[in-house]
Amino acid sequence: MKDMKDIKDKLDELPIDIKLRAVDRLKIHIMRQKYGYFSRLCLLLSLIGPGILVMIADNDAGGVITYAQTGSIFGLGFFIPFMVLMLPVAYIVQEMTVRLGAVTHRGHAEMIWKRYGKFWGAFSLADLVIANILTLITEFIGITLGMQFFGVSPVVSSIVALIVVFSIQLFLRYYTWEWISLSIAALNLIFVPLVFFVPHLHWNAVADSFKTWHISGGVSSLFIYVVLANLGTTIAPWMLFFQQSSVVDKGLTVKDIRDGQIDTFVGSFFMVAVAIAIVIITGSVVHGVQGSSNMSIDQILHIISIKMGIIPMKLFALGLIEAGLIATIAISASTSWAAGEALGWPKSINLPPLQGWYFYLPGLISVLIAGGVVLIPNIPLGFLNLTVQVVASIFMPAAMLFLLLLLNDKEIMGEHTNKKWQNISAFIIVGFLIIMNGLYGITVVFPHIFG
Amino acid sequence: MALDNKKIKNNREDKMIKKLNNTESQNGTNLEDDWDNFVQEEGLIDYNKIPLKRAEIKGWVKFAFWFLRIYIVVMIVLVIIGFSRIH
Repeated sequence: MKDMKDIKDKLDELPIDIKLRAVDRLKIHIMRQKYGYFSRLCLLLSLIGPGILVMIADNDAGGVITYAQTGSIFGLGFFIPFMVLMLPVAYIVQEMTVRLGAVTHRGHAEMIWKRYGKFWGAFSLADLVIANILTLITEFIGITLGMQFFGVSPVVSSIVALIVVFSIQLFLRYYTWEWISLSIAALNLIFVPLVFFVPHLHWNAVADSFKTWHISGGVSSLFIYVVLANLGTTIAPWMLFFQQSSVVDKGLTVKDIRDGQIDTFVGSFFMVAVAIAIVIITGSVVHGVQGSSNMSIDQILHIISIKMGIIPMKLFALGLIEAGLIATIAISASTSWAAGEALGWPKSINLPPLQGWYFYLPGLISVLIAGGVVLIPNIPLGFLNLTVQVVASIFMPAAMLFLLLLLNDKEIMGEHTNKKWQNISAFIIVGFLIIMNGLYGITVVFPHIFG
Repeated sequence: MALDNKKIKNNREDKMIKKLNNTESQNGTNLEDDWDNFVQEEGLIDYNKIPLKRAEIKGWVKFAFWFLRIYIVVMIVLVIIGFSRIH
């Protein structure tokens, strides 16, 4: 009994957030001592979370709207195999944050700030905060729009969403926060079974899309914009910050990298499965309808209700609400973590609200702004989406560059630096991103260059 | 209420530490003797108090930073042109 008291005393010596993490890590430590497949599975289940959460939160309200519009504009063709291609893209990028977090035990904002100086640190933080607030507004648009299909007014749905997000962020310790967030995230998979409600779905057309990569209407400015929008929803700056901070807050170490990689792969798989399901639904049901190349999400939902029925339409709307809610939780957490890391504050979801109010404040203020802005009548949704896209487009290559520099930094990464194939893949992704951004920029200046 | 919460938390810690004392699961690891190593390995340290050295910017990294600056300026110019056409 003596040593039990000693360990308790040692735990009490740690700051509250680190103490709570230590208790979780003691559990992992115990599990690691056991052998057998079942114990290994239990260990894996305890260690997964950040990867699945970030990938599913990436299928946010803006993402669901983007996939739905992609399907309705281009049908069953190029964008189905393109989405499959997004699996390795998302995995390669996000896996790097797992290693970086597990090795350094520091978040992305802190690494940039302290390793590359205040200018780049402040640039990254400001860009992240602006992009996050704008993205949060689109999440609230998704939530309020989805709730309208259940007869709930935007004011009520915005207030309810605020209360739910505030409660989850403030009153839960990391472990519980993660499991509740994952439970909400599970609802994102609702889009997958909806595919089987599509009347007369041509699976042959789906299979053929992998052979032909057919682009309905050919390469145009709209096509480039949609490719960029889909790429933008697959890898976003907040995701890098979120997953790395989440890995750090969960307390993953180098011993857990393999589990973190499995977590990220499973998350990427779910993300792509949901994206493909949405493209198949709208590509089959909405594509070809008059005006399908320029439809809003409520028009798309209206056509789904006519062709598939009220229940599938309501399930789609429920998915949209969930997508907005889980992304709001993840994005506001990423803002709080990044601000805490950059400004040197204690930064953990384990912090009790009274002790860690300044940690929670940046994330919650951004949620409050988004929840309020969405209630402004006639808000220019298209303009907002464009601005989110633009800010993310400028920031993403910068964020990726810092990620690559850090992952190749032997001084901090030691034996966990990027392998050659990881660097080549990451450079191809950054290169593709820069080329697509450049092409999009050219289409802004010369709108008719691609017809 | 706060007292109840504390009790629950303490029970959780008690259970955890009892498991640690179980020789079957301990598998030779003695946390009592090796606590500092455990804290170190698990990264249970206040990293705010450990300074991180500034990276040296040289070679291709210097080139990458210049490329980034130019890219940002070009993108901002394109954004201004794009937004001015919207209004």
